[in-house]
Amino acid sequence: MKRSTWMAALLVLPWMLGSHTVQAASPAVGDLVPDVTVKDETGKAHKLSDYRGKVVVFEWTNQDCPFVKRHYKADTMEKLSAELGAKEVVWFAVNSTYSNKPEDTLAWKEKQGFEYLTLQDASGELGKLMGAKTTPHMYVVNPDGKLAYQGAIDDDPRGRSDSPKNYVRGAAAALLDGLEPDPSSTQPYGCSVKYASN
Amino acid sequence: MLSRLGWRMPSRLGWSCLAALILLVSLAAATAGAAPEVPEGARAGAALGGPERAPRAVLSLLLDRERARPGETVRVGVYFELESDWHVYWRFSGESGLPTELAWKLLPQDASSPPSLGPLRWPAPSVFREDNGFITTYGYSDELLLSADLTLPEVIASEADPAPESVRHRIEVEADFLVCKIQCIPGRASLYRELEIGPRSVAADRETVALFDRFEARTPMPASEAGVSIEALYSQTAVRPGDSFRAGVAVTCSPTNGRDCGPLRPGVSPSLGSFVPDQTPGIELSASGTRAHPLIEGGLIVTLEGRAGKDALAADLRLRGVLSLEGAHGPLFVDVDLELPTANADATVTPLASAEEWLVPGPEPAAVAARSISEVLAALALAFLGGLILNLMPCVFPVLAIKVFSVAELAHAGRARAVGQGLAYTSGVIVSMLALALIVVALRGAGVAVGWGFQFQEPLFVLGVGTVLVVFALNLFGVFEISPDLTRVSQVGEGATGNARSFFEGLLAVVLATPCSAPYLGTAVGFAFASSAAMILALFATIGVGLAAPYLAITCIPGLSRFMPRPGEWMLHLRSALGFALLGTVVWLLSILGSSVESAALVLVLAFLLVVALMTWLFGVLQAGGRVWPARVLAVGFLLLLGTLAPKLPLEARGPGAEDEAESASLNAQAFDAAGVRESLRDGKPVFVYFTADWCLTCKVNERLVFEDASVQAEIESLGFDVFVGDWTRRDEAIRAELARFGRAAVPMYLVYSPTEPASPELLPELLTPTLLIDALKRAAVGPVRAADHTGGDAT
Repeated sequence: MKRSTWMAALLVLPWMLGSHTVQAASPAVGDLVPDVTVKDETGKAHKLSDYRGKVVVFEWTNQDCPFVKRHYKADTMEKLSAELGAKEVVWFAVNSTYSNKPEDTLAWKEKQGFEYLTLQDASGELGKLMGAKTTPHMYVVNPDGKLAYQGAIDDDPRGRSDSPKNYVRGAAAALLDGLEPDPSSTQPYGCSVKYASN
Repeated sequence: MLSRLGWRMPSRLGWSCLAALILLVSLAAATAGAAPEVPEGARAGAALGGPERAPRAVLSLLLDRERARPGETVRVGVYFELESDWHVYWRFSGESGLPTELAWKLLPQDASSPPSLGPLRWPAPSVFREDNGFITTYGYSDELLLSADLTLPEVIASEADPAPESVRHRIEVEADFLVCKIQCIPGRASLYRELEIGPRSVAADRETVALFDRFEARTPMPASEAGVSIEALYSQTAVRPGDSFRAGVAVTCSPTNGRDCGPLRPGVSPSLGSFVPDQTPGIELSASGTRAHPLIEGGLIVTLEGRAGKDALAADLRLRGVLSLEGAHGPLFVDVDLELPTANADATVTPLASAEEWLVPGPEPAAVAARSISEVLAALALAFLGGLILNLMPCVFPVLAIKVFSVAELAHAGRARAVGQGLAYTSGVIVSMLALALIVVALRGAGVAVGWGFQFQEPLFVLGVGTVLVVFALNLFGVFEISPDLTRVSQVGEGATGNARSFFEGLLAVVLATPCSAPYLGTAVGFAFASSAAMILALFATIGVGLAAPYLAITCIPGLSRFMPRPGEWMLHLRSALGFALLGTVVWLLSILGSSVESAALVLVLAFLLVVALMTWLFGVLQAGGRVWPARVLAVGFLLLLGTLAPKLPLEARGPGAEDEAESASLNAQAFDAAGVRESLRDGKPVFVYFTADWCLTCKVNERLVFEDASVQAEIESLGFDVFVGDWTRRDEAIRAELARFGRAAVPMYLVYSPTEPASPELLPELLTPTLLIDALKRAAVGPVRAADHTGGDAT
C-alpha cells in the first residue's frame, strides 16, 4: 500500500508539475478567438462572434496597476480608442481582476472619462481562454474573428520615451488596409493579471 | 505474559532500529543547509551613497574595497533588500513583470583612461508561479546583489594634476525596477559612491566581501567551467513560425573534466526552476519538467515546451537560459547558450521521434540533497517491509526452512544462547547487505552501471553460490560439522546451533534473496541507487533488518518460542530433507548458468561440484576422526584448489543477443529494441514490453501464470499488440538504461504503450494477474481514455 502510493506519486508528480505549462488552449496569432459571452459593467451581455466583420481591440485592464494608471494618465487608451472608433474599430477593455465589481469599473470610467465598455471577467474565463498575462495586454482581432495581434501596447515598458511606437495602432491600421500586422506578437509588459485562484 | 512481551520487544529488537534511527537523524541534520544571513554591516558600507528607501525595497550601492590601487579590479554592485514575499525581476521577467535595469555612470568621464565596467552578474533566478499556475515570472525574493567588475585604469591623472597621489572616482547608478508581491510597484533609485584610488588598497568589511562572494557563487558559469556538457534536443529539425514544439537541454557530466560532477538532479523546487529560459524573440519557452537522461547514467534532461509566433524568426536565434542543478559537490549554475535551428514558414521540417520521446517530463531522479526527511523515512519503511516480505520469497526458502528448524531447537535451549544466535544471524544478514551496498557504491563510483540482482549475471558468482550450497547441504546430511573450532566433533543436532553457523546462514539468506527481491524492493533500491553512499548503506542495512526481523523476534521474545514443537528424532530427518531443498536450489542455479554458458561447460561445473562434495566428505572423515592438523591442511588445500579450478572453467558469458527469444515463445515476443517499439507505435499498434531474467523468479512466475493464460494470449492477439521482451539474464546496457528511465534498478518491469501516447507508457506492478494485465492492455488499445485517468491533471 505504502509502496504503491509512493510509486503513484513518483509517476504522477512530474506530470502534474508539467501539465499547466501547456497553454494549447489560448489562441496563437491566426487562430480563431474563443466565442464566449461576457457581460459589460452595465450588465449587457456581449457574444464575441457578434462582432465578426469588424476589427476588435481587447485591452486587459486593472485600475490598480501602476502600468495601467500610467497609460490612463497619458490618455494612451482613450486617445487611441477614439481614433480607431472613428474607423469602425470596436474597443473593449476587459477586467479579469478577481475582486473587480461593475461599480468599481463605473467609478474608474467616470474618473477617467472614457467611453468604451469594460467586459466584467472576474471569473477569469475570457482572460484565461485568451491567455492574457498582464495589464495592459492587448489583442487585436481581425474581421474574420481571428487573432491578428497580441502583446504590448507599445515599445516603452518603462514609460521613458516621448514618442513610443504604439503596436496596437499599427496593427489596427494594417488590418484596415487589408494587411497583416507586423509585428503580430510582442512580449506584453505590466502587472500580472490578478486571476481568481482556482 | 502479554505485558512482558510488549516490554521485551522494543528492548531486544530495538537496538538495530535505534541505530537506523540515529543514522536517519544525522542524515537529516546533514541535509539541512545553513540559512543565509543578511550581514548587518552591508548596508552601513553604503552610507556614502546612502541606502535609498524605495517602496518595499531597500537598495544600497556596495563596493568590495574601501580604497583601491590603480589597475585593480573592484566589484561594484547594487544590493536589494526586499520585504518578505516581494520580489524583483531577472533580466528576463517572464510572462509579466519588468526586468531590473541598472544604468552605470563613472565619473569623471573626461579621465584620459576611464575605468571599465564588466558585464552584470545575474545570479540564477527563482521561478514565481502565481497561485492559479497561469502566470510564470523569473526573479528574486528576499535579497539580490547585482554586481559587476570595475577595472581601474593603470595610470591615474586629472586635469588639475597630471600625476596626483590619489584621485576620487565617483560611481553612479540608476536602478529601475518593478517590485511585486500581488500588487506591483515600479521603483527607481539613484545611488552614488566615491572610491579613492591611490597607493593604498583597503578591502571592505568582511560581511560585504562575503555578500559579493555569495552572490558570485550563484552566478551561472559556462558549461565547461561547471564540468558538464550541455546539448539541445528538439522534437523537430527546425522551428518554423507558428510551430508548437518540444525542446530539451540534456546535461551530463563532462568526461574531460577531472572533477566528477556526480549524478545530476533538479536543483530547485519546483523542478521547473531547473531551467529558466532567457528571452527568445518570437518564441515562448517554458520549462515543463525534468527527466533522467535515457542513455547516460547520472545525466538529466530538462524538458521545455515551445511555441513560435507567426512572425518570421531570426536565423541566428539561440536557446539561452540558466540551469540550476544539484551535483555531487553542491549546486551547479550553468549558462546555456545553444543553437536553436529556425526555418521559414514554408520550409519542410522533419519530426524527430527519438527526441520527442525524451522531451516529455519523465520519471525524475529524486534529488539527493533535497531529500526530505519524510521521503527518507518512507524509503526506509519500505526497505524494512521489503526485507520482511523477502522471507516469503522462494529464493530464501531453503535458508528459512533451516532457520525454522533451528528455531525449534533453540526454543528449548537456553535463552542466552537463543538470543545470541538471533543476533548472530541478524549480523550475518546486515554484514552481507552492507557488503553488497559497498559493492554497489564502489561500482557506481567506478562508473559501472549496475542494477539490482546484477550479481547473478556473473557466472563465477553463480558457481560460487552453488558451491556453498552443496557444502551446506552436505553439512545438513551430517557429512561434517561447522563449528568455530573446525575440528571439534559434536553431536548431530547440537553442533548445528553454533553462532558462526547462524552468521553464515544470514550471509546465505542475503545472497539467495537478491534475485527475488525485485517486486518488493525495486522501488526502494531504485531510490537507493540514485542516492548518496550513506543512503545506500542505510537502505541496504534496513532491508537486512527486515529480512532478519522474524527470526530475531522468535529468538528474542521468549513467549513466541513456547509455541515451537519439542526437539526430537524428527529433527534429524528434517535436517536431511532440508539438505535436499538446498540441492534443489543448486539445480535452479545451474539452470541460470545453463542459460548463459555452453552446455559442455555445464558438465564441467557438475564435475567441479562433485570434487567439492568429495573434498567435503574427506574433510568430514578427518574431522570425525579427531585429526586436527590433517583436517586443517585439507581445508586449506581444498580452498586453494577451488580458487584455482573455478576461474579455469569455461564460463565466459555469451554476448547478449544469442538465442534470446527461445523461451518467450508463448507471447510471440521480439527482442527488445527501442527503435522497434517506436516503429510499432508509429504503425498505430499498441505495444507490450516486458523485462525479465532467468534468475528472476518473480518474472518466471508471472510468465508462467499470466502470460501463458489463454485469455491473456487471446487478448494480445485480438487487440493487435506487438510484444517485446528485454532479457536481462546477462548484462545489457540498453535494458539497464530502459529500466533506469522508469526509476527501476531491477526486473521485472512491464510497460504497456498506447499508440496515441507513445511517450507515456503505463507501468504495471511487478506482480501481475491475468485480469490486471488484460485491463491494462484494453486501456492502451482504447487509447485516449487513459490520458484522463492515468496522468491526472494533464488534460486540463
